[in-house]
Amino acid sequence: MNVIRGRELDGAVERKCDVLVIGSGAAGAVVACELAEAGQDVVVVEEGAYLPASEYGRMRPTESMRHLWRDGGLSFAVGLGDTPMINVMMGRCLGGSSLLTGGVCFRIPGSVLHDWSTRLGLSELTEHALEPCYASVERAINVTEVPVEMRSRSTVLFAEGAERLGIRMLPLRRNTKDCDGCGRCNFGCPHGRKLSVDITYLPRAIAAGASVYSDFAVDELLIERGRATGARGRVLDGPLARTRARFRIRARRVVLSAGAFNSPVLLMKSGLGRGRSGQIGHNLTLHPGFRVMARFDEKVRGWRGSLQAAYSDALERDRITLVGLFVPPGVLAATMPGIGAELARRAATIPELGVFGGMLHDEAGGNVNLSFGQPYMTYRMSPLDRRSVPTLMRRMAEIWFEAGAREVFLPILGLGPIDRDRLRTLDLEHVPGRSLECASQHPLGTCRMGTSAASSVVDPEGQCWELPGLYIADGSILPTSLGVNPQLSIMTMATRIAWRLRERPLPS
Amino acid sequence: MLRALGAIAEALFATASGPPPRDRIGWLLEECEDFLSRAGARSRLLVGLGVLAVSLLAPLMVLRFPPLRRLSHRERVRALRKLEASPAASPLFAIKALLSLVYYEHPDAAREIGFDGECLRGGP
Repeated sequence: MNVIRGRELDGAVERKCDVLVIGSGAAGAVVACELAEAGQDVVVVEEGAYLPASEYGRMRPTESMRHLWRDGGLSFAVGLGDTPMINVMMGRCLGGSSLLTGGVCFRIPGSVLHDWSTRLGLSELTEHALEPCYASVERAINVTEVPVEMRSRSTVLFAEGAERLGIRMLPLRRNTKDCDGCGRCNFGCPHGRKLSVDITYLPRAIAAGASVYSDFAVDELLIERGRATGARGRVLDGPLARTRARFRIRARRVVLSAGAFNSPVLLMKSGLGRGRSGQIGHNLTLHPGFRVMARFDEKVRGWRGSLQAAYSDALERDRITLVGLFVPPGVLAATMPGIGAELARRAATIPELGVFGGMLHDEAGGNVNLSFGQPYMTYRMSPLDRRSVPTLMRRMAEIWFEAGAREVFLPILGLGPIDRDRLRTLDLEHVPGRSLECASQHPLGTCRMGTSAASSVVDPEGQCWELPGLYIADGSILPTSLGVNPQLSIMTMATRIAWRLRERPLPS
Repeated sequence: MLRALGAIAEALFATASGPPPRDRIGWLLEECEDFLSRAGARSRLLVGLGVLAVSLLAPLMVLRFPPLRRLSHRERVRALRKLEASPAASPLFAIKALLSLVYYEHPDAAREIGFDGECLRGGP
């Protein structure tokens, strides 16, 4: 793929184009491709590096974290009140987080669309209206159901336990082709079988004439006479992100697709956010996720199989979705209590572990903030969400025991393995938030879409109320959390915005 | 910071026969150094503060003067065990997570815990 790497350029870069797309992840790549194929002169700038699939596929997990993940995977939302610190996974590479997802593809649940339509007035966002956009994306990234035979033993065991308790497990759909079941999609597919946007949309965009720059970090939007007219920033010289040169790109239209963390930050750095709504950076949702592990009297080797193959929405009444996953042995070992020989003894049982995840369909509780030029996230769980956490842990532990687990590891720091009796007596309702081990892969909502400038950041077309000429297309515009993995929804919304932009004449 | 990290790692990954081989700890520290150099200033600061907290707090748990690296291997293991069981364990959990992530990627460490990294459809 013919990507222009900033680290290989000399001198300042000045360019003009029809459309500048900031960010090359799931949404930015879609917008760039759709507009380039419509004949527009498109430039994509990406802060992270470009690594071909053959290169990142060979990396160990922590190598992937340092090359592909923002902050080396150490990004956190600071928990306020009785809320845990939440580790938030975000991509920082060409292709963005699409390289790091488990490949799970859900459409926006009907109940969520109904809420958007009735409560928020987004009546155009119906399943029927979105159908062509879904179809386009699903075709491009090959969304297919994960066959039962690709389930890992860990997933099989969990599904058996769930079925015994009357909890129905359903097959997930993912954007893979000929998956080998290596259980490490979150670090970049080792065989290029996950059809992330670096393999699908970005090559198409380039083939249609788009220019794609990696190592280009945008500092500020260019604004003239109240309109977005481009962006300026720094060309980075490599993994340590030192400034090598400056760039300035002028565009007739700007599309911001930097994700739910960086998009509001860039708006704030550009002087926005003091307008009518005051919503920029607010309404952050995360789908807080919890991992529950179980030890069996057999070799489970949960890494052999599709990373994510099955899910259940049977607990949606408690705002909980159960989703399969696996994590590298180092992560499993890290969550086991013990030092020295005790840890070694426990780590030796890793092949006997099953792992499954549960996430909350959360109410908005967080913010992206900018203080003294430093962006950070804060998050306060709503009382409703917080009450769901013990339910999630208890139900998942019960499922594991029903599947025959000898002991279960709950996501509570410092708590050792527990058996059935201990689960019955454990006071999960009073575990302090700071003791919970929690992670998120789905930051959403910080530039939410709405029908009024008083309560949202972008209009239903994706245009920023406060800055004409600027469109936002990424997870930040989703007005509420979804309760399901958002990759497909983000790409679908980006397709919709791109198709609308295609119809609108470019400003002179 | 790396020396302090190494002292924690030697105790954390010790087996009944003592600390892990010296070259494995050397590899671990090189990897951690590279990791932190790319992880950004904020991550480096957070990890640095975590290592400092563990180095200072753990010895106090066994009534010894800090830093942790001055303690004998046996005392270090005992100090970290006490710290892990205390209400002040949060920095240790964070450092343990970082070290474990990297350590178990070492081929020998992975083999010792039975991780072969094989895919369902055969091969790595």
